[in-house]
Amino acid sequence: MKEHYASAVVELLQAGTKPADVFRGLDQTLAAHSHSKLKSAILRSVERKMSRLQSHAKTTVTVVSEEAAKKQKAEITKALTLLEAEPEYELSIDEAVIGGLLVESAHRRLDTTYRSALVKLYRNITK
Amino acid sequence: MSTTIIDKIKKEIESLDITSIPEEVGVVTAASDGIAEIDGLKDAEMMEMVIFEDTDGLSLEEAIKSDDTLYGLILNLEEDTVKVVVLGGAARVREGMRVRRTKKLLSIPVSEDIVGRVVNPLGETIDGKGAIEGKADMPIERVAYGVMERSGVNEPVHTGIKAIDSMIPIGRGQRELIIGDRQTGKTTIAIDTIINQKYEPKEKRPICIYVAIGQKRSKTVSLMAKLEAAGAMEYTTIVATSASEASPMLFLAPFAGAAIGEYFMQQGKDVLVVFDDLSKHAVAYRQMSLLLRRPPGREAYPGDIFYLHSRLLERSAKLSAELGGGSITALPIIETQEGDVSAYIPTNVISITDGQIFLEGDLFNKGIRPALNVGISVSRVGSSAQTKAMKKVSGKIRLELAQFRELEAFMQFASDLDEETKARLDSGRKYVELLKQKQNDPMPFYKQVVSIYAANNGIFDGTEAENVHAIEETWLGFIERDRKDIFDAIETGRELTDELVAKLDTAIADFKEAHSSYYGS
Repeated sequence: MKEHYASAVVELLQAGTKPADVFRGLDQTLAAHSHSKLKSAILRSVERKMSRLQSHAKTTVTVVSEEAAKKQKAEITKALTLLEAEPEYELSIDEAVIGGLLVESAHRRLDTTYRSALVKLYRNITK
Repeated sequence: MSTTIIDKIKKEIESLDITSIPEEVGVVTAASDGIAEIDGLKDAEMMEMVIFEDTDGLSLEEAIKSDDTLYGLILNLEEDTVKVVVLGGAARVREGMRVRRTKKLLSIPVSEDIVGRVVNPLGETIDGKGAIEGKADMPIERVAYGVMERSGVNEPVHTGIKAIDSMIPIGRGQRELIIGDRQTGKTTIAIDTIINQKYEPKEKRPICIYVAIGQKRSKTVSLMAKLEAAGAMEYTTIVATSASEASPMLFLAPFAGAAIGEYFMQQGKDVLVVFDDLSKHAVAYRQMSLLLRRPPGREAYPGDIFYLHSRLLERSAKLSAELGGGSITALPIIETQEGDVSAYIPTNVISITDGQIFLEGDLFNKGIRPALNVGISVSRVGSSAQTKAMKKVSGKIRLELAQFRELEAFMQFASDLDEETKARLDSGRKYVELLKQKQNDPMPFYKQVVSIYAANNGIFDGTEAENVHAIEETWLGFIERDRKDIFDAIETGRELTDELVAKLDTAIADFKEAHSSYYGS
């Protein structure tokens, strides 16, 4: 039930309806159906859905260091093209990847990190 | 570091595939009771394997220390999400975890090396003897062969159990249900059948697959020990899922067994698959379906519980000569409660299979073991699946037992019986004694033929029912020692020629003369 309310709120917000109008309408609907107790759960669900939508909308590139990002500019551009992603991206530094890069956009990713390759190698050898 | 290990590492490095191919990923939004709900994966397919990236964010050292790859199986495709059953440590799944598609439907790697091994439903070995190099990936779920791709069932599967081989014969490609209450000897019949295959010539011997569904580990270990001691593990594979494993693994186990069987069937070989037992399989599927929020039906089973077993058992077939002539014979086992064969799951499976072997607790407690109720057990394939020799001798035994059963009930009320009735009762009792057999002691079919022929032709006349076993043992020993050509002729020719009949008649007369102590003279 709460998921249905949450989905409806998110769709209205995405369609451009003013947030104040959306939440006033929500309050009235919940009161009319005696579902006011669900309000806090619905709002939490809306928050999760919105943050998921926002994270899907952005592209993240993870590399081992700033210098690596500069050296791998060409690979990053190629990866973004492969994923059909926008050229703007958020850069993330993670030493754990060891080398290579990880590009995530919407629900697709391209993983050429050394860490993933080494984990795969280890699991193949020790199978 | 030894050269072997270095060579293996070099080979793995050379074959390592790190090409940059975009992968579709989703995010876990909820996880509980072994089911994960995943956002994304909009192009995912039903029964597709996915991989949970539980090493994301970990250092290399931490990632290596973590357990093996965690797989999931997509079983619900919903409007915005997919629901996945976790195949393995469900506790490793976290909200927010990335999940990527493999674009492969669930399959099991199979090769000839799987024979003699113990594996789980994913094809991973669990007997500590090393991994198996799979030659082919056999799909877990597969559409059964069509009508025109099959041929008739006309070759026997000898169980080594006299009562079954003579009156409820099973053919290669048939599905014969073994049904009864707990502790009535269902698994024993299946194991004896597997052990008995050692008497088949190697080129015709079926490869046996025993699927343990939710069995106690101790039971599986003891079964394996029995098979090893009997020399049957050479041609047997065990697919084992214990009672403590998650319901998805129990759900997959029989399908994995069928997939392994299909690998060998497609090579023109015969396969025998035992599903022990499908009652536990149905319960595991019910549990999984309820957790997936599928609507419950009768007895809370999902609406497609019949289809679950029908699509599994339809994969047993005898293929046409054009497709190699291979076969899968299925022995599904169902456990009833208080002998109720009209319950939901038993009636479902009875209507799917080509016959059933009923085991009764009352008979078991009376000492009639195997506790077969021959009156209501049936094989719909019938004598097409019997050798000519067995066909010749089994007709009389069936008739005698049928008459005995009728008279036995009548006897309780009658005070004075005529001589003919007494004789029939006596004969019936002797046949009942003859059909009793020790556990894990299957008898090759040629010995069965000789034993039943002798019974039909008066070897037990003039003696008590209590002496039947001793006489049978001595008789078979006599033939083995002094007239072995009879055994050899039946084993190779598979029929009772007039010449063999004459030899047997002479042998019976000689035996009775030499062992008069059994006959009260």
